[in-house]
Amino acid sequence: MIDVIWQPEFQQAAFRCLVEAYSRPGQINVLPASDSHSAIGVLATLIDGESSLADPHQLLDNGDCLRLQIKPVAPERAAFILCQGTRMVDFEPLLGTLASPEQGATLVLVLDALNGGDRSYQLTGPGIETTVQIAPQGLDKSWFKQRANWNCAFPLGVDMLLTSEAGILALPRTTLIKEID
Amino acid sequence: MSNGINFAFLDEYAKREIRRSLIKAICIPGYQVPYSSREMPMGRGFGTGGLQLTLALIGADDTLKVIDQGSDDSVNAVNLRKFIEMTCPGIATTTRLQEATLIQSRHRIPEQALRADQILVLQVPYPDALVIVEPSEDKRKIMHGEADYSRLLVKLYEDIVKFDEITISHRYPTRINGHYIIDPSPIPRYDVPKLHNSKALILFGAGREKKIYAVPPHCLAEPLAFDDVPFRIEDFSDSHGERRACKLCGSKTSFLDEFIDEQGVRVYQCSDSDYCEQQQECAHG
Repeated sequence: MIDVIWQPEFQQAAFRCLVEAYSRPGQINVLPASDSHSAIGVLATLIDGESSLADPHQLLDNGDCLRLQIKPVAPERAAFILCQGTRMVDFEPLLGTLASPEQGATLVLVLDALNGGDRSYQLTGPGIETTVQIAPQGLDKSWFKQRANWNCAFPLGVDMLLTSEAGILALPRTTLIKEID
Repeated sequence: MSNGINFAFLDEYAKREIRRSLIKAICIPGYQVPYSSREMPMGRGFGTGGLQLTLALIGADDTLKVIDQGSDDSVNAVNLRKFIEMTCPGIATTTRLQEATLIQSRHRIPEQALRADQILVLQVPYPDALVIVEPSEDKRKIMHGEADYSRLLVKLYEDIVKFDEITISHRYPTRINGHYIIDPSPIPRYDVPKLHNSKALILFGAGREKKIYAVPPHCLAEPLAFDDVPFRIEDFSDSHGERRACKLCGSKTSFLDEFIDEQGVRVYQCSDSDYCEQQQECAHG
């Protein structure tokens, strides 16, 4: 049986979950039930042959790529980049241009968990009423360091999505992240 | 599906493209994300931009409210609602704001405050606030990127010099998150402050101009003004300086429409018909 993530009903519900996540950065949202990791569910919801995806850490199998109708490209040219959070950053994503900042990449990071990590971060910015704290597990610290560089000149930048088995947490480029000592 | 139409009319590829653009619109508050804007079975300019957003968002468990100039019963709202009901089997529709999960609107933000679990979709005829000062879209895109709005401010200043007043009644340019200036669609000035720090996500869809933009919840939204000429909303005072009331529900706080009744007398009533009816229900217990 084909997994529900390839069905329009799942993708509609997952998309609403994504809208909620990006509207309220730092909030953990749970995707509808499926047999797949939430990162794959998100890609199934947003990607098809019209878009582009990089898979530098080889997290997708051949069947996923066939159903997504994509051939992975280099991270430097991809609209979506799927990465393992424990690995260090070793690429430069697209940041968009001044006239077309929407061409900045979307980074989908696979983590161990979205909370309970050793390091805590405080978030502020649009979508957050006052502040929110997050403590993701399985995220190399190079990601937020690089993110700060990539996102230093608004409107250019990257939009992140942290994913666990079933949960998602969004960090649009406008969210300011501060490590809490 | 029995009637041979995909759920929510659009094919899944079209939805995915709108969904990708919509996510970027939320990530870059106020930026007009281009999208392909498919042909819809109604003319562009009849709310196809808002409609495509609604169709990309809606699921069978949604309750939809469609309003036009505050009214659920005007022709644009009725036609859009009928179309969505026909192509989205299983959804519920309502006229009561409190029951709705998804609200599509033309020219008004509902009178009562939106909740965090609601999404407002506004239909937009002209998405770019800079179009009055710069005809070239390429140049406008650079100006937006640099947040260079000096020429727009000069236009407002010229208004003050000529008329002692900024003469923009609706589509009031509003700065989002301190960077992009948006055309908030033809909502009256009265509605502009509702964009600021809203609990609900507010989305804008321009079908003919093929643009999607967003004001996320809890986001800074400042109508353009000068230190010595602050932004002000419509004045509904009569000649004695007293706030006019709605002739039906008596509300003295709502946005009012002006009519000439059959006797030729000028009368005022709430523009938001759902709010007005709820006020009347309250009054009659």
